[in-house]
Amino acid sequence: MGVVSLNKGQGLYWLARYLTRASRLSMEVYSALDHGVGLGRAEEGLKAVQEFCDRLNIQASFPNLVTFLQLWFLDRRQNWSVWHNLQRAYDNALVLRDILPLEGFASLREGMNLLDSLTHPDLMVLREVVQDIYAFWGWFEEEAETLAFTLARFGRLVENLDLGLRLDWPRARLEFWQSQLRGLEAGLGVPVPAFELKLDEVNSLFERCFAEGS
Amino acid sequence: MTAEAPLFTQALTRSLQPDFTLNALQRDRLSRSFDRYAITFGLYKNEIFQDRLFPFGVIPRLLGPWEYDTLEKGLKQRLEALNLFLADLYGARRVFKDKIIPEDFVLRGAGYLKDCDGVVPPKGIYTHIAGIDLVQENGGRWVILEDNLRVPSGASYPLIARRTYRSVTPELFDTFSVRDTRPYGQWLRETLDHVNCGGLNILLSPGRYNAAFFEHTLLAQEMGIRLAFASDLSVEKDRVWYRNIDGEKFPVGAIYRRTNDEWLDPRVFRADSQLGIPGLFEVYRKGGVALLNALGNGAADDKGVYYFVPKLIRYYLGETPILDNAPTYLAADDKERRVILERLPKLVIKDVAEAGGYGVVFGDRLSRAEIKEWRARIEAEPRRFIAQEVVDFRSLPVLQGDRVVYRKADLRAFLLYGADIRVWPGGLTRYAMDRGSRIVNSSQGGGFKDTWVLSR
Repeated sequence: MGVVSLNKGQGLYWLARYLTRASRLSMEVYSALDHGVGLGRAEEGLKAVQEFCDRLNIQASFPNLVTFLQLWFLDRRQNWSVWHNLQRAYDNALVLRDILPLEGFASLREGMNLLDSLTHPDLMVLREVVQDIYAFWGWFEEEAETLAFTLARFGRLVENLDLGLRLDWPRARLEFWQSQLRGLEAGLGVPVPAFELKLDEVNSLFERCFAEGS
Repeated sequence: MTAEAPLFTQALTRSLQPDFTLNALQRDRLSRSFDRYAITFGLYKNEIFQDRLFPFGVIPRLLGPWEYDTLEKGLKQRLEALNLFLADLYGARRVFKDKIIPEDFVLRGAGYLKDCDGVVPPKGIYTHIAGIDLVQENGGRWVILEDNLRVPSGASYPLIARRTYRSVTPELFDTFSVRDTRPYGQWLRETLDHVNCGGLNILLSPGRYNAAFFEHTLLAQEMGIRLAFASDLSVEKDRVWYRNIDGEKFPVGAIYRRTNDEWLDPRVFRADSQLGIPGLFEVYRKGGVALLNALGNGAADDKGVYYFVPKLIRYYLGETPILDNAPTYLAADDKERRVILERLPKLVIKDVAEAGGYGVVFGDRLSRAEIKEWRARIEAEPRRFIAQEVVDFRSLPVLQGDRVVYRKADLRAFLLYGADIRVWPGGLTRYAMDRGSRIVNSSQGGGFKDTWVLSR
């Protein structure tokens, strides 16, 4: 099964959550924009992303799409920006380097460097950042030890559920992730308690699983 | 006897280095790799931590096989003597009775730990991992500058540099037949296994804000062992335990600690330490866990004790030292102090308790007023200082853009002491960033090179 301390376990869990948040929020914004702009008017795109932010309880209003994109992807002061989430993930990755594959870490580093280098939100470059995140997961899933892999998977599923609940994703999708989470028991070596599809229950699951360890 | 290499090896090494050219693409790829893998060395500037990329000189240092053979013999000899000294110091203290080194000189040193008196580490090994700093004089002779027997760092940088060379410039290894450095992780692991008291091997790191945190993670990975922070470990029933995420506890048999002595156990050393494990010393004292390196090694790598190492080699091994010290004067010795005070503007003064290039002052850079101040300081605290002749050591080629420039460089050789003493056939070559500077330390902004030991 492997040996992972509570510190490292928490690090893996949060690394996975922040990375998932960074990539999902990037892709969801592309999708919302594409939908809005596809209706024929830039204001529709802005309306779509503003609505998207409201659902995530992000209290900010944006005068235009360019400002939105700038803040959404690159603002270093907002805890909801993609930059912020990727930076938090990278901070966790730095401490976890001994259990992350070298090439996986390098992919993440390249994504961070790329994002750091941007002064304005070039959507094509931002897609490359997302690709770096997925490259990280590729290396990780190939090479990580079972317990480390499972803990990160735990974080990814919790983050997916958190976002899915906030953004009203289809119930079937959420139930699928819910069942996947319950199925991690064998890999984690501890029971995963039953939980309902509610934000507080989803977000407290890790602590409930590893209460003894803490 | 000196470590002077046969003339033709020197000629080969000298002639090869300036011609060591890489095309622009290769150079770019080598440099980019270091950014890609975040090969960093942390620096504190104005008390703010800066994790900066460790400047990498792409032209490796070449060492001929004969040159390395002599170094290997001399370094092994030195480490064996230093280990015997530590065993003696914390044991029978014959060395004082036989008046080889003054007792109070050693016992007043900052690195001596009274708590370690009578403590015998597993298998009697104190100096499991040593980093010994040498320079090569322009004439070819190698001299020892410093012994690092506490927490020497730096092996990971040439280790990962070599990996990068293999992938970016594999054809170089057709031209140069180079000794393989890859087994370092395995050797390190074997060193831990050799003294393990039953249980996990752990690398204990002070945390990500330690200058060498990158190294801690890489070495843990290379050894296939866990990197832990103090909060992951606890002491119960005369054992150290590593706690798994689900609360299960695993006994720890050996700790490769990258935390300095004074922070390791708040019950015995600094009470304010957040980096230590309460009760660790007692477990160690009773033989329940091996610490690599042993506690109290600072007594042997003190710059004042360095002065006596050639004598210690003769005393413990009955041999002539193979590698010489740089010519050194001891301020604690009345006669030598007079020499220091008189010749101060031509000497290098070193604070014995400092490391990492701190506490090093070149007399020729001091003003008259400063010379006066230094004289007073040395007279007030003679145990605290040594002085050395300025060694005119070799400069090595460094690429700056497309230009080859020459910079002063030293070599940190790594030795592992397990079932036997092994000298890693590589090492960290550090070079000064500025022309004419002799300060090569990483913590002072120096760069590094890989060290290629040629096998033929």
